[in-house]
Amino acid sequence: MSDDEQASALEEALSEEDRAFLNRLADGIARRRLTPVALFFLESTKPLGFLGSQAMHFFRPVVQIVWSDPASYDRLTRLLEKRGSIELLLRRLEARA
Amino acid sequence: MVETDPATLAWTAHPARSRPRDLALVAAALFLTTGAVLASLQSAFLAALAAVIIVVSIAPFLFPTHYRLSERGVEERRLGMRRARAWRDLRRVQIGARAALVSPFARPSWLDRYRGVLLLFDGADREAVVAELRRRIGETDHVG
Repeated sequence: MSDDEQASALEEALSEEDRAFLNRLADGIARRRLTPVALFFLESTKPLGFLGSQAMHFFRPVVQIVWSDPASYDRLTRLLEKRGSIELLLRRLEARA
Repeated sequence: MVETDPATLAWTAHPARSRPRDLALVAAALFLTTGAVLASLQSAFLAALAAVIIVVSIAPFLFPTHYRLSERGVEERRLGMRRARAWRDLRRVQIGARAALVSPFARPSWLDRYRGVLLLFDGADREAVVAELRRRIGETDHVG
């Protein structure tokens, strides 16, 4: 299964909240004019998405010190665990480029 | 070889086979580079690494690439690797003499080569491929 097919399957499986979260994330990146940098970074590190999510789990206690209820952090961690999630974010960034 | 049916347009591009003089040039460059690395760094490992990097970087020329334009989108297969982009994600097509670039970006971007797909016309019915890309993606930029 290609990245494209994985991402399409995941898009259908995502909840409305997860889709809205990805849209907000992409909007935030685009608003800060970081779209090309984010695209390049995410494209380069796409195979490491799952490792990234595990690193986020590891740093969760540290994040909680400065951010009492890191709901978005947790949502992003859960999303990154799924294959194709970075491709979904890349698609949203492409649409805003 | 070109395969056509109403739903699918498929072909295999293998530029090294149709351009033997360029292949000889590649072989010479590969031989010289590997030799230079071996002579200057005295390392067989680094010389082999240099050869591998060159071969990988010119893989689209050296190895056969299978393309398929289907109802769903564009698909590219080379050395067991598969890339696909759906039509709905593609916003621009740029037509050249030997290849077409389909890109998810509405405007030209340096990220085109990473996120887009370069379709080599070698071995394809160029006119049929261009017509299909125009039909699916719409406005076309012509280069070369």
